[in-house]
Amino acid sequence: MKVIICGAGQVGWQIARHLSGEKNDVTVVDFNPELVRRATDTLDVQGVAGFASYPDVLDRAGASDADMVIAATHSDEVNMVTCQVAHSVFSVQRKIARLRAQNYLDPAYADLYRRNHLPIDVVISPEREVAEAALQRLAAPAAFDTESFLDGRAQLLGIMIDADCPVINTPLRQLTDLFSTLRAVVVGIRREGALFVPSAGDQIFPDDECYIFADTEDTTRTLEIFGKIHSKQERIVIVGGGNVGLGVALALEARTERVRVKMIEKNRECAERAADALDRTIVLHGDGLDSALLEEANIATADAVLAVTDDDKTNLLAAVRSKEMGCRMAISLVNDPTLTPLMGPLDIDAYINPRATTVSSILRHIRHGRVRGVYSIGDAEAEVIEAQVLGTSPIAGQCIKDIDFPEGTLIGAVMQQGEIVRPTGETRIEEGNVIAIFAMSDDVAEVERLLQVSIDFF
Amino acid sequence: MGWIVRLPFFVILMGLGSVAMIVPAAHAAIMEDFGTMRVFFYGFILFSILTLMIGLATAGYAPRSIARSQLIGLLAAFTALPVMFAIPFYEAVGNTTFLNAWFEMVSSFTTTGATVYDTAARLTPSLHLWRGLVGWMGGLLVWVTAVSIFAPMNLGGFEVRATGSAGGGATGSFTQIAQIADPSERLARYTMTLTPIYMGLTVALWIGLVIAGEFPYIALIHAMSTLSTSGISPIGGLYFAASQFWGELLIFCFFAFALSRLTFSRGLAGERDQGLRRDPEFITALVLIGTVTLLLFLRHFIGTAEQAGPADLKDIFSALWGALFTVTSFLTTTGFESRLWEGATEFSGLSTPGLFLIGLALIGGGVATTAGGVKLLRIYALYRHGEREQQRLLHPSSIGGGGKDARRIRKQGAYISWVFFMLFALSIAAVMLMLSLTGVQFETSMVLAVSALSTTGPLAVVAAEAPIAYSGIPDAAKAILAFAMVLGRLETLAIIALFNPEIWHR
Repeated sequence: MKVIICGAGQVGWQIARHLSGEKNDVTVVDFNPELVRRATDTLDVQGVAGFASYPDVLDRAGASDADMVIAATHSDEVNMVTCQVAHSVFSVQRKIARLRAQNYLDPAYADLYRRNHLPIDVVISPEREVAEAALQRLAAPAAFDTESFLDGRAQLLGIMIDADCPVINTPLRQLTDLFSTLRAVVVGIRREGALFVPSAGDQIFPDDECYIFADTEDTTRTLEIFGKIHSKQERIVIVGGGNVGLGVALALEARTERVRVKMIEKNRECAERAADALDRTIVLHGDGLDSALLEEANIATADAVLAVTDDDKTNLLAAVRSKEMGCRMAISLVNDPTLTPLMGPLDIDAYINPRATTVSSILRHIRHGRVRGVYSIGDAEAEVIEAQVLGTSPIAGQCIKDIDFPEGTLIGAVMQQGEIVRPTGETRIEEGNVIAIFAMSDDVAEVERLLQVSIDFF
Repeated sequence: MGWIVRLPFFVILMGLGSVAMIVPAAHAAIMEDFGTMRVFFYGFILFSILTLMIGLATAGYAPRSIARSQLIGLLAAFTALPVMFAIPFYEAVGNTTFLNAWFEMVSSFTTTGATVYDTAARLTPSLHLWRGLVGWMGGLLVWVTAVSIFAPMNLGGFEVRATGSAGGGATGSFTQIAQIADPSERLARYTMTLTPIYMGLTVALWIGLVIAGEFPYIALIHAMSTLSTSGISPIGGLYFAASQFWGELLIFCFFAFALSRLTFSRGLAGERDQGLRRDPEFITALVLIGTVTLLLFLRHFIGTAEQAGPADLKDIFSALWGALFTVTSFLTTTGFESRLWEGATEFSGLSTPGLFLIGLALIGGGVATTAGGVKLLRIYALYRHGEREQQRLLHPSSIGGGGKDARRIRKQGAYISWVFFMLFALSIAAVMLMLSLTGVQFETSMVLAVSALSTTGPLAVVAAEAPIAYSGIPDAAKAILAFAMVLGRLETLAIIALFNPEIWHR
């Protein structure tokens, strides 16, 4: 597939890396030749330096035979115009634009992005998605990673196994028999840094990081079985009042149960903007690393601190300082994936990787078949793919045990006629079912092949 | 007609004032009171010719700063024009001093409505009409000048929300691309816009009162004094009005025009149209009226419960209405007293809580309305500031929300409001001091000072322990009060703005 990515910044570069790694023909367009060169040097992509929305620049990038344009420059307006040019001049089939300004994302104006208005097929908003990820982390404080699938009916939970976990040193097969009504499956285990898909005979050991697929209704029970207590969160401190922090605070204010939110923001204008948009939240102006200010935010009695500034180091230090001052839980936004191993030593309970969330949301529109959702785990080590089974797919009508799945894959959940079913070997996959598959990166291509139209069809 | 607009502001006002003398002259002719008719008609001729001559002499007058000349013209209008109004009045009354006549006219024109003629029968109906008419014209002058002169100069309450400094004037920086409206052009335009509204509202209330059973002539004066919040009455108050409760209800509805400018001139001063329901002034007014009425009512109610048995429903209602009407009337600085107000006090056996009314008159009505006092917007700004400061006690580095405008009101708005409030308080102290020097008692001088500065003349009769008669105070005190009225009407800031070196800068 031929893809043009406009903007070689954080998001653009990450998408380019992901797509070029999957043998796509990727061209990167950016105004800054330096960024273009960085992309062409490190990735298997072509580069064009120029203003992304100019028709001649897009033409040079090969827009006339491109399958998709992803507009992820810093300017919303440039992204919009790029999509319009790609549509009107080059008739590119699929157009994805990144829009940051919340005003463009108001559902009341969603009509704007229709084909004959402003032809953008998919609007992605990194800030909004990161805010959602942050909310999910808050909802499941015991898990270090969460993502919802199947219309929010199933959850992927990443849990750190402690030494006092009741289910350690037990084969997974026994666990299945023991909790026969629990709709949860262990889909992945990271042991000593290596992620693998467990088989029925594998056991869970302390210090393992487990990825578990659970029915949303059974989330609390699952966490209890794995030795995590689900606690309510009433006092939350947010460090950083940008789009992410503001989005989280707005969502928390909209909740029915009362949550006391305090926000700390360094930039006065940004803080004023947040204070105007928020009603009950108290916005404090100052440095999130300042212990006096954290004390003013009453960090000692806070249930959780959410460090979501645009600077990784500030986030980490703010989280560490808050924990040290008595906050019970710390969640940090981390852009640099190489910093994630520091979470354990720094005693930070969970992290959000904005790239993973954004890339996930773009990937779901690139995948073949009826892929509805893709979530990238770790540093692109594995993916969870949510897909609808087509009648022409080779897996339709077969029992799971008969399907020729590659080694590193596991079905997490199956949704049949709106019901979440826990997959066993005897479960028959029918046409129209939605399945969530956990797949190691190397096996993603094979899983895609299974989800695609089979040869017999022609 | 263009040359009329180019005349100095004061000359135009003088011309309008002399033409207005035809009204009492015509009324007197119909009433067959030919003596009065002659005086006012001669007044009309005399002052018309005088105006014409001054107009001819000043036709080529081109002031260096039209805005300043208008401000001075306004000051002159409130001090010098009453002299012109007083001359026919003095002649027609016959048995009065000129000082009294002048005081009466200043008090009418500044929409204060304080009268030295305690017994209404001492003046003929045409003279009462003249008082009412002068008050009505004063009200119209305030309506028009507030939007056309004060708003561009960020004065008269507009400074609370303005981005520029008070008295700074509207020096736009877009001279290249836009034409800045000439101040006299602006004045003419707003006069054309607002006069029909003001007249229409007056006529509507007049007709309404007549339907409610009032005598047309009394109804007209009451309508004019309601719209201009002067509180002038030819029969010594609403207590004697024939329209009774329904008349009061109608007048009550028209008090709304003194609570917020948005009731009649929405979007005129160029600010964002936010609707009456979200107007801080209107909300503040409603909260104040509601709280004070309830407090007064509860006070009466508990007073009754202690003394006698349960009161009947009619008494309760009339006490509630009396309190509601009087409270609103004093908040708008009109000063009408409900006919049920006395009943409300009698029914509990408690004395009139005059201090409440003094406080309400001090607060006053809305910005750019005919009401006087400190103005609701300033009170709102101070309240918001206080609220914010309390939040800052809890969280010293917190940031207040509400938007850019709200932040400006809380900071610069509250600051300038506080300055104004202190100036107002100092003026009260100064006026009280001067009154005391002339031999007026302390409490009396306090009530008189507040009533003059807040332009609520009838306050003196209602608020004090024993009614104060303006006729009983020394002549020097009357002159002081007259100047206090002008000060209260024009607002201290506007007069201080006149001394702003920037304005005099060549």
